[in-house]
Amino acid sequence: METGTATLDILNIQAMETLLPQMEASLSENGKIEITCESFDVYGYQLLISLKKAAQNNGVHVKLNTSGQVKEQLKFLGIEF
Amino acid sequence: MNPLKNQLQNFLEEALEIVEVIEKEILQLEVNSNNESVLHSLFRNMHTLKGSGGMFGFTSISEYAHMFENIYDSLRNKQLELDESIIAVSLESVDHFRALLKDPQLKNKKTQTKHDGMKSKLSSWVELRETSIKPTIQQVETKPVHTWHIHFKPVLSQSGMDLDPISVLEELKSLGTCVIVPNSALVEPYNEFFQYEKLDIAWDIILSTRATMDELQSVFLFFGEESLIEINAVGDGDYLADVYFSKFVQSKAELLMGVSAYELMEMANSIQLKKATSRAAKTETERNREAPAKTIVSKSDASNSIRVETQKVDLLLSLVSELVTAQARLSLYSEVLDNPEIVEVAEDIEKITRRLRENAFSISMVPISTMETRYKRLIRDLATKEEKLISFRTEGLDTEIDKSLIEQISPALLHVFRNSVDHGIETPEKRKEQGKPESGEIVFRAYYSGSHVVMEISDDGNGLNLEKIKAKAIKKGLIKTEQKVSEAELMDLLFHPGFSTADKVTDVSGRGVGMDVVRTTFNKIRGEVFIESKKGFGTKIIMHLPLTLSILDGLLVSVGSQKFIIPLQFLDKCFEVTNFKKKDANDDIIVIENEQIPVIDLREIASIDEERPVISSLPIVMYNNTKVGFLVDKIIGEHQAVIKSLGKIFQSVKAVSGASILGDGEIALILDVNKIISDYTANQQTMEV
Repeated sequence: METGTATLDILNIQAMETLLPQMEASLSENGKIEITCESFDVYGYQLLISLKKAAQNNGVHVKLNTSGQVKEQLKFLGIEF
Repeated sequence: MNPLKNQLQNFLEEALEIVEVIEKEILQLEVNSNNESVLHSLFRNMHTLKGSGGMFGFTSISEYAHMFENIYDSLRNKQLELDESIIAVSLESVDHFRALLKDPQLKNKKTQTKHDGMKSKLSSWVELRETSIKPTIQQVETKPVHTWHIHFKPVLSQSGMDLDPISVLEELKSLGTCVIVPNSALVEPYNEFFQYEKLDIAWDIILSTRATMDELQSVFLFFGEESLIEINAVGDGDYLADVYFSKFVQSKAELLMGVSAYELMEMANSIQLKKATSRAAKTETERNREAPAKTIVSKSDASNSIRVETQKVDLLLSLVSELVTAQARLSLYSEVLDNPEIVEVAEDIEKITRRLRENAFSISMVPISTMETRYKRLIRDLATKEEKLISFRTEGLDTEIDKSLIEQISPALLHVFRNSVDHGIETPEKRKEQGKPESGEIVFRAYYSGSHVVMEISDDGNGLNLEKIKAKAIKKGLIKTEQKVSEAELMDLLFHPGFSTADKVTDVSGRGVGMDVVRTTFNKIRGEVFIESKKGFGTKIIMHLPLTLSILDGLLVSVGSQKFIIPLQFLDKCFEVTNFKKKDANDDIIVIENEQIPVIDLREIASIDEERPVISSLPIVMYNNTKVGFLVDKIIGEHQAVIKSLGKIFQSVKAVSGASILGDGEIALILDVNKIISDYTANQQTMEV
């Protein structure tokens, strides 16, 4: 849980509330960051990469809640969650 | 302009150009269905239209292009054979694309209904044809597979996301096997200062495909100069099918830091080397063969032309015109001041200005070939409708004229073509009876003649029936029964408003509202139209038009302190007249070289009170076979005039078509010669009646 708290400070939940309209972010009980998105454009895609980089730097896992189709598309575009 | 609107405008303009090329290619295929390069090019153009339409979210365009593309794919693969019905449905589709490009979001109900109708028409046509589609023979693709590295760093406007680069990646995926390696070196890890709209992402795309460099470049057609697009050939063959190469690429993808073309080429080389080593029989030279040639094409290298708004070109031309005027003033004052250094500077500026003017005016020049497809299509459609056989031949289509002129004369040319098909070329049966080939011919020819361009539209049809024209003219009261009228004058009557010899009015022509509009159109742009015809052998319409509307070569003359410019194109000869005096108001004829020439006194027309000199000048002008002399005080010399409009207030002044500012700041009025002569001739006819 300590890692999760540290993540909260670094990623700043306040800032995450202003994510692109197509996305929602939350912190799950086990300290994972959960992103929900139904679709994405190039800006959303860049944001996901940015979140993934931040999470990697802090040893936090990002979980993406989305359809299989979106996951497949992201996989093709070189990012997996 | 808003950058997004600009991009959208670019898309619509380029898409319209693509549709025009497609139309041209369909017409080429109609003549030669075996032309595979045209067929492939048409398919690629349709593919580009589909991709770019989808990229801007215009599903109406992309879905229709997809349906259309399928037909041409079957043709490419020899599953279908090109026939008249395919040409017909293709041309109809071209018209539909034009409608879609005007309303891509189908906001207008009519477009929506038409779109639904066209889709279902195309579907049922395809269904009908599917039964006759040849079974797919195992296709042997002749184009070899290459592996490419593409580095793509898009730069978008910050105002929207209509042009989504992700759709380009999807497009590349459709071309072969594709692995995307995100390059997020510039993307900051997420923090509270993260800027969503600042696009820093780039991609390295590894693609094994049969597509050529041109085809790959066309995928990026709608990305501006700012975007970075580098395309490198990694090697011949499908390297992504190699397990080592594929694993290497995947490992790079996980790091999100891209992969360089150099790394891929190194990898490809080592794979080649491994293969070579494993085959003991391989020779030394084969083992050390060089890496495939590296080709880097950035967006800026890919094309050597740019798209510029016409308003910007107009502004440039207007500023150059101002500069020409200012430069003329500088030259004048440098002579007055007689300072050698200023004279030298003025001469330098004059040279540079002349070059700048020539260059600037050449920007707005476009080849006449841009109109070819439109005319070809018109003739084809009208010939089909009237069940006539017509071949269309063109000459000199690389002749260039001002773009604005092309737009102005286009409706007039369309009318002349309509006349040629409707009244000129006979039906195959009639032609056969007359001993002519069943198929008629319409020829469009263009060439330079001095500062003018001449266009000719000729047909080998009926020719003009001069007796019929004369009878009609007498009936309309345009000439008297006993009046002697030359062939040229009779033909000229066709330009009279409302004059038509057509027995029936068709929806193509025959209402007599055409040829006078053709002449009016050309007169407005300081051009001229003539007719040559021989009964039974055909008719030729000859149209002269200036290269540009902005500059005119003229003869500068003066009457008192007022200056006038007579366009050189009308000038025949110049004479001097001593002590010119009229006996009475109607005495306006002067005999020169045994020829009676009417004299128009510019002093009278312009109401100039200053006294006439003893020796006057008389430039003789000729228009439409009529010669007239303009009585002026002095001929100053030739002058290249930058034409200025007179503005709305002076629009009704009939004798003057514009003005030009001279070097000393004085204004010279440009005489509307054809208008002056036409009015003079009309007055004479009224007096005779």
